[in-house]
Amino acid sequence: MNRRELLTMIAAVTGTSMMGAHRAFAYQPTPVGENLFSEADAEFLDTVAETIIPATDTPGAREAGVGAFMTVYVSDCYTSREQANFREGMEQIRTRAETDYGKPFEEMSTEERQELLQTAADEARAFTSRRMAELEERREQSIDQQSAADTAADEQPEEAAEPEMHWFTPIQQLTLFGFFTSEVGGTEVLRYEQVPGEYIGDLDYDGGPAWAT
Amino acid sequence: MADNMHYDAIVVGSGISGGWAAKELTERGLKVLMLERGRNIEHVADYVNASKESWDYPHRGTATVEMEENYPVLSRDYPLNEQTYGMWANEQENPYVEAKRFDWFRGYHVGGRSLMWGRQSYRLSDTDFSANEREGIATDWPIRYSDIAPWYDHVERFAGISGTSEGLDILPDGQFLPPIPLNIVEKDVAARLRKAFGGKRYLINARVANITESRPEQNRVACQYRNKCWLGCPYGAYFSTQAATLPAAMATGNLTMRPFSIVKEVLYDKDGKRARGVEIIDAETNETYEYTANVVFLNASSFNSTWLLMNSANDVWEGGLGSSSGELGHNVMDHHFRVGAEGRVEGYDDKYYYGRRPAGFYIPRFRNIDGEERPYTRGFGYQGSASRQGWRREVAELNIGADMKEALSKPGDWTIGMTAFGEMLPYHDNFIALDRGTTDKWGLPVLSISVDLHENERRMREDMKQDAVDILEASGVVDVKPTESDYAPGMGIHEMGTARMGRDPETSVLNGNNQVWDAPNVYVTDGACMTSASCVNPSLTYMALTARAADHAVKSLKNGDL
Ligand SMILES: Cc1cc2nc3c(=O)[nH]c(=O)nc-3n(C[C@H](O)[C@H](O)[C@H](O)COP(=O)(O)OP(=O)(O)OC[C@H]3O[C@@H](n4cnc5c(N)ncnc54)[C@H](O)[C@@H]3O)c2cc1C
Ligand code: SF4
Repeated sequence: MNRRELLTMIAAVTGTSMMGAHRAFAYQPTPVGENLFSEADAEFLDTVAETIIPATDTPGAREAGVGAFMTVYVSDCYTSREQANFREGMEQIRTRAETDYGKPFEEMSTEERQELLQTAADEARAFTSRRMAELEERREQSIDQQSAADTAADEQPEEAAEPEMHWFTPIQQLTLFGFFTSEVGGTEVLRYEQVPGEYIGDLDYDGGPAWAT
Repeated sequence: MADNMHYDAIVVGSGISGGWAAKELTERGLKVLMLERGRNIEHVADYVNASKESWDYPHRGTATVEMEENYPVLSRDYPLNEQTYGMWANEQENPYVEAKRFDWFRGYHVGGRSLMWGRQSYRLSDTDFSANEREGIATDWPIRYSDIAPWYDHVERFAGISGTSEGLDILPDGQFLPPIPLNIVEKDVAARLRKAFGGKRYLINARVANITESRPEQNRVACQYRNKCWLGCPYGAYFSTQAATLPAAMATGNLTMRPFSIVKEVLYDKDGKRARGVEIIDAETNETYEYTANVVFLNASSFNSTWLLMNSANDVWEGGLGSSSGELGHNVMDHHFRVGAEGRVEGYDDKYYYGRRPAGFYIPRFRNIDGEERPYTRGFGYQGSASRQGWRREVAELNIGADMKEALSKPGDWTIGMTAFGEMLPYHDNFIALDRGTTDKWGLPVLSISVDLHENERRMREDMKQDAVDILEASGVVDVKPTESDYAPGMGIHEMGTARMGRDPETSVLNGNNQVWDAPNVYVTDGACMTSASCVNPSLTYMALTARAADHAVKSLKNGDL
């Protein structure tokens, strides 16, 4: 069956005899709230993101609009506490640029920006492994205590305080997420086929990009 | 519009089971009124997200804080997301009381949860139907596998289930379309697994309600491997009310559907010991109407059908229609899950795949059969898949820059993971009840839910985890790690029980044909009727029981028995 036949078939939708048939949206658009960031913020975030995912022989984060995406995402999907952490990250980068390099981040050279963010990334990695070790230790302790006290199983161990995150982690994560889920990232850096039509589970790998989803 | 107020049959609810009731009753010539509390959703035309890509969503699929505030229950797990937003019962308008935490994920619209379901479709086996009797648990199912087998055949042929015949007693074969393929890693793991456990454990293709061959006569096109089924399929390739049963029912000319119709009460005729019909509230105008019928099918989903019974005939039974046994509302079951294992598969770096499957593999139950006795009763099966990691992985030592970008844009390691779905026993003390002090937007009393896992399930979870690890390790998977997240009852989205079938009106709500003992022209054929849960996904069984009951109802009407 070719694409055209397919479409004709899809279009042939059965009529319905319905009382009081109202049309209503099935899947609703998500509410988009007020963007809490300025255009300058989005610009700045583009520069940060581009340092994390630079244009190479394929487009980078700036072309994928990652800065603007981050401002929408943080405004709508982050709790106020996460927003504060994200803002601290932006502030840290700005301050370090001034104190360590004596100029705004935007005016630094590509190498300098990479150096600054690489340092931040190293700190974040160390911070995260420390946190993980702590949490693991606390979890083991609570299991010990639990079995010692033979507590009822429906009594949840006290929720460990929300794991703090290093200020660089959300910026880095959102950059990757925003980039690889963008149209540029998904179709020009990764591979994407809108309607595959079949599944082949045993294909010789051609060395090319990964599938987008 | 001048409404006709009398019909041969009324069907309450338009989800998976209601769609089947409407189809089977109308095809047998009955004039049917289908009452659905939510809005209409038109096949294809209203699937506005079905062709969207991640970049078409402002938050790329993530729920916003505002959405989480609107849907505090749904936000506990994956159903709350940007893609399916708007497809879930409004939690402010439709509250319920959690005497104990219960994650109730509901869809109130034409099609019910048939639009969002995971489509995994398996038959219960004779082991399942006889388990309660064999072990002296709860009460015996009034039917056996042989009673329902032809009806499984019937619904599978029409719904379109893809899968493979395996000849296993514990997971009977059916009328399958060609399967959704396994990939090379899954096939090899399957072969190693079979060897490792002496042919006692199997990894097979998932059996799913996605058609793999086009059906022009149903206006349904074969699956295009896009893996976006929960958004409504523009090809009609997965089974939903809209794609399959509703058009068939409409084609008979015998169906009338009324959306925005909250059925609040089954009207009971004390003297005739029969239902006369139902009373509804129009959800938009708040006006009430009475519709009468010779037969009433309750397909409002397990808890809602039971709620309806509890809210009916209160002048005769305080606890409602069907409460005379003392079992109405009791014996709630779900499938407990969220434990399993995952690991890495080496040696396939030169292999990849094409297309996005809507399903992976299944490992049928292997515990407590063939005479084995674990420290718990019943068993569990696994659902899983293998794939190559994408950009969401960590790349060692690479945090930023061109090298990381390059690495993440290539496929990563092959990984395989699976999650167990375990059977939960029917316990009398797991129950739902009317809370008359709390009301919904329409002033109707709401349900209070009180469900816990018991010792049997907790013991089973140990095996669910350890067996997953053992299976993967024995199949050559490396870096195997157990996975476990909190499970709260309801999360399986397989709520069952509360109006069970049985052999005796003293201990059950429904008889072997799904008729309410106290009102034989009322049939309950959704998950409320389940006497035990098995460990397989239940909806195919609701379909088969519904078709069987519809056949019974029509024959009984003709015989003058109803
Ligand atoms: C994300 C997800 C994944 C799932 N995966 C699977 C799976 O892989 N396999 C499987 O077998 N099952 C799965 N399920 C479960 C499956 O969806 C349900 O078992 C099935 O839909 C139940 O069918 P039903 O007809 O009883 O109820 P539903 O499909 O829920 O339909 C009930 C309908 O009744 C209407 N209604 C309720 N109360 C009233 C009233 N008072 N008056 C009028 N109308 C009313 C509702 O609005 C709704 O439209 C999944 C569910 C979800 C949400
Ligand atoms: S994966 Fe198949 S069934 Fe699911 S939405 Fe896509 S085409 Fe339809």
